[in-house]
Amino acid sequence: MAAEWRKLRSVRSTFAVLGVVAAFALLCVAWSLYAAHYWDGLSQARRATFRSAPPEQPLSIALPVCAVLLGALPTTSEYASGMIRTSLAATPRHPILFSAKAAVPGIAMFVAALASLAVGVLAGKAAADGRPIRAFDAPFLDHVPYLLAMAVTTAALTLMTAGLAAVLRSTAGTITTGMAVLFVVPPVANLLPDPWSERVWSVLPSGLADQMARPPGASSARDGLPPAASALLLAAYVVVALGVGARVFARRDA
Amino acid sequence: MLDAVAAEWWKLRSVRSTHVIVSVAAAFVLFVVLLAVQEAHIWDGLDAARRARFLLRPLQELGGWVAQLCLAVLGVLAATSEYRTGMVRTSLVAVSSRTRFLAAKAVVVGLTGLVVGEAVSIGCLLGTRLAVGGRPFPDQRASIAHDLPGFVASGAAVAVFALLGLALGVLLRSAAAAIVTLVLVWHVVPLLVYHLPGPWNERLGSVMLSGLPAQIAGLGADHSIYGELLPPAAAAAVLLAYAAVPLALASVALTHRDA
Repeated sequence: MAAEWRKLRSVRSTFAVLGVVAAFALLCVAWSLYAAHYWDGLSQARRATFRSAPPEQPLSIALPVCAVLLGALPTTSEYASGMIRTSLAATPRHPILFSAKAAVPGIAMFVAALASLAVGVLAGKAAADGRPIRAFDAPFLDHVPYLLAMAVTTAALTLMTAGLAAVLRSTAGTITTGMAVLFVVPPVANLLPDPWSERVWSVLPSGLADQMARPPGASSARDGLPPAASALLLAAYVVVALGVGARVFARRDA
Repeated sequence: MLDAVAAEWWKLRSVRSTHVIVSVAAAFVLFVVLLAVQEAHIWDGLDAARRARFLLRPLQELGGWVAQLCLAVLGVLAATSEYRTGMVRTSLVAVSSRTRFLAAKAVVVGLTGLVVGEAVSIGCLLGTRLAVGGRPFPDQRASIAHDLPGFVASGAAVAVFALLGLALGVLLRSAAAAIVTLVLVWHVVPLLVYHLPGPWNERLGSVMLSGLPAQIAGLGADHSIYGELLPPAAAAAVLLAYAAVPLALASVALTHRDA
């Protein structure tokens, strides 16, 4: 694990990913300032109906992308350069190397997601400065369950991608598949005939965070799964992806 | 120049990723048509009042949207796979003029993007029309000739995405970075822009790459995250600029950097 941490810490792409997370956290700050400014210019009547995207909105779109990236690169970059064979010579037990390759970016992503989300929400509260803007006015503690759910989902995405990366071994293939799951499948699921659109939608990884803990101030647009079920489902996804990944990683020649 | 183009075509044709990408795009057309069959089936079971509100859009437009991402990845890989293996140095020995090297890649990637894009986009239009049969969906009453320009423009946007992917691949030299940047341009930034307060969501939404084909064809942006402020000619110019400006930058970078 220490070796994987050193590798992750020393490559430029990790900093690029974390830089993107930080940039989107800053975007959250800018977004909150703008929303507060916009609110000041509204009339009383329009304030009552004003609906704004929550302060962490930019992050909630960017974090899954970063999670996929960070989950894929530790495995696929070594396959691309052939260094995977050196790593396996150093750590001959495949399952241990694979778990390190999944766990290290998973933990890193969890911490990065939680920190950036907290910054985003706190900045939103600071920018709102007591203005009763919906989605900004809940006390910070009310946000905590949702932020945790988001961070857990982000880390789970990293783990799932690590499993996928061991199967596909290709950076382009892994990242594109991840993006397809995040962005193409939801709108397609929406188009399915009726009971199925709701059913498929509620089991997609990208929607699970909202079902585990409802963001404060959000209207209940979809009923979806109960929190415990969605958490179990997320865990099942991770276990299956890591299980398949570990098996393929152990069985195939590097 | 023709030899360089032939060489690039040979490379593109012989790698597995090209076949995977084109198969995914083609499979998605099939999927769209199957969904249209299902929608037609639902239509048959509806009463007149609900039929009047039952739309087929945006189903048939999804094909082009997915093809944009697929072919963008193809464009990226045309550049980054050579950087990853170091074969780009061999290629540059064979074709020593770097602008010609990039131009050959652009011709092959652009034409592939155009052919696949038009096939997917028009295939989705014709396939869904065939699946729907004569059922008068409220948004399917116009003739095919009336709807065709929008889908042709959408196919052209696929080629632009492929060229943008190539340019980003040359500029960033990393498949991961280039694909993620493309995903940002393709969907993440439009989503963020859509959440901006007006009038900026409309203004910026109008120059988003995936929203340009509808504006070129003079269609509205109802039920989408994009804007509709540009006249067709301006939208076409912006579309071309999305390919031309990054390619020009890539050309400058390629001629000035070591491989």
